[in-house]
Amino acid sequence: MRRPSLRIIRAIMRREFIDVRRDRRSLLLTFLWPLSMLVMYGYGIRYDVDHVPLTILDRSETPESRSLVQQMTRSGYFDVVRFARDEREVERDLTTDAARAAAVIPRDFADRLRAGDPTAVQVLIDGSDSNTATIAQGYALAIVNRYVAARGEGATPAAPIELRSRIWYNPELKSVNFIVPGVIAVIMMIVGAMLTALSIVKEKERGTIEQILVSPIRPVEMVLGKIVPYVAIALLDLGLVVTAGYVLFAVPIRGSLLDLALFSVLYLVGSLGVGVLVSTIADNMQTAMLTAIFLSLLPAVLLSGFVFPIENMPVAIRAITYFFPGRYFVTAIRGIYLKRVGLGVLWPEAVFLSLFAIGVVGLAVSRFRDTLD
Amino acid sequence: MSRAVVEAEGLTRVFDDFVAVDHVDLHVPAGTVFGFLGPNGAGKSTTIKMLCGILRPSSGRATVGGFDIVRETERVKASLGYMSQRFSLYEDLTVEENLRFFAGVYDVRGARRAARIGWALEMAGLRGREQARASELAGGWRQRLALGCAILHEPPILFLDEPTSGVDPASRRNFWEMIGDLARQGVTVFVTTHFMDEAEHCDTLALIHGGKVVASGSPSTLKHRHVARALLEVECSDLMRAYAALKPDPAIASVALFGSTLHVVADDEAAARATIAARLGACGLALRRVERIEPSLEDAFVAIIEASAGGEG
Repeated sequence: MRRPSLRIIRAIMRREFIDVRRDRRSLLLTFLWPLSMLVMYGYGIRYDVDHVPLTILDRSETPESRSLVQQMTRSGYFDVVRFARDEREVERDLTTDAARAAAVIPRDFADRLRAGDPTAVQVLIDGSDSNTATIAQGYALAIVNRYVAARGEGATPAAPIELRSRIWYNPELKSVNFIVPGVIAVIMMIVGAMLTALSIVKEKERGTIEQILVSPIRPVEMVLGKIVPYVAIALLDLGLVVTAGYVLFAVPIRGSLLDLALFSVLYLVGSLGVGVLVSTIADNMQTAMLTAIFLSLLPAVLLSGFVFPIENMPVAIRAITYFFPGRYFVTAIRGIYLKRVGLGVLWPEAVFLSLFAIGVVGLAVSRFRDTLD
Repeated sequence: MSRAVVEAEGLTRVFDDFVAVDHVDLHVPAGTVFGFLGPNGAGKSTTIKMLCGILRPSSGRATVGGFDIVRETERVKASLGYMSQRFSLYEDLTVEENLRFFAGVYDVRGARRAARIGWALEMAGLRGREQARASELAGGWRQRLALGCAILHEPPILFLDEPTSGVDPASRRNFWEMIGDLARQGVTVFVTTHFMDEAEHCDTLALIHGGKVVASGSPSTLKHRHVARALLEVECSDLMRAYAALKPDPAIASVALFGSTLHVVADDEAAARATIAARLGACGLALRRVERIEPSLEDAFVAIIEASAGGEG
């Protein structure tokens, strides 16, 4: 058997580049789509909770109660939408979604505070969005505690131990810092799998694959010729998304760009292999598109820890995540982005990504027949 | 007799439970134009694809250029050029980019590449249109560009699968002149067609029907095999009724509709003439002319296919 020829691979690559440049659809898919994904996910998915609309029912109407209200609004976590006159108004605001939370300060609030007696402020929270509710509850509790502490009076018995928590890596707890690396994982997977699958299936649809098959091109030359251009294109996308993440969302990279590039290439080769594999199954562009989405987009979004934390998944689903490269890549890229870690820490991820890449490309080459059978 | 460039023995291909190609034997001498004729679905394309190494035969064996099509697929592929009715060009690429791509794929390089691309542009009449997209070309030009791409690497064997479908008559004639030139330069051309006028250009013909080769030989051999019987051209009113009236008669071997006439084949010319006059007269049809003619290839094939169908039934 002849050795793979660089000239043949180069001829296939050159044609692929011309094709991407000429085909407006693939240009859009290549460059506009990743950017719009970044913008949509970046602005759309937010785990941060702030400016919760709040209704206040202040029955006390004293300097003490007004000071508590002021602290709630000043925190930025709550926006007061109404000072209610009675409980009926409070209830109406919560049912009509005019407010997500309400604080009811009792009539004897100030009197009891001054007398040193325990008192309670009722906080009602709309629990229909449990995530937001839990976080808002935490904020309200913290504000009330701080208020009590600031007064220096034991309205509730002072706790002997004070808890001082500090958040590492993402001190402002900005979810965008967490999401942009995840979006990169999704985009790399999609660009890789989708573009390669479409480019090969297009040859099947137009019949040019027949002309390729009767030529002495070997499967390994065909697969390499198809993969390499899309590695280059996807790396261009990577640069675009990293830059846009920095410009639009001020997400910096703490770790090294070289590590980022290395992990991206490992991950990309795997996703491109998935693309070739898809093209061996699908005979037309629609099937290819759907199969690529099913095999690449869904796992990258759902099983990578990008949107849903893997720790919270049922055991069976968690076991499945080990077979998709998404979880390794998301772990690696978040580590590089947020924790400034490199290969020293992330080498297991690098090993798994390499194994996946080698396995998938091997499978793709062996399935990529040089006959029409 | 010169060395056979394409040789097949018992070549068979089965798709599920359908036998597309059924024990086909072929012998194509070097430097000849070999015509593979048959109706659509007869197994022409399947045979060509097996010979080109892109379909595995279910059984039987074949060599192309001396290489086994199963065991030495890569060498088979390197020694042939292939062009199908789809003219599989890259439509988004320009004329020149298509030629350059195939030059790369077949490792045609350096001065030879420039010379071959120049030759292909000249041959296809596309000088000055190097930058036109393949999708913008009309049928005849697309066909010649596809041919140029297929033989850029100067293969000794050329497979053409329905190369003239969808091309105007002038381009078809022009194309066959090029095929003749290639054969004179020593290229072996294996071509499928269902146009009888094109079959006349071939040195040897094989007729495939229902996956089987039912006749083979030179065009004149095939016609002469038929000349033993008399071929009468009949002109009359209401061809369909005349056809129905003549068909069952024992004095007539076969009847076929040919344009505005009937072609009647018979062993005994005088008996046939009498029968035709009697039968048509009985139906009240006007008989205008009965004349003995030289058989065409089409007559030969109608008779061959009828004979093979009768043999089966």
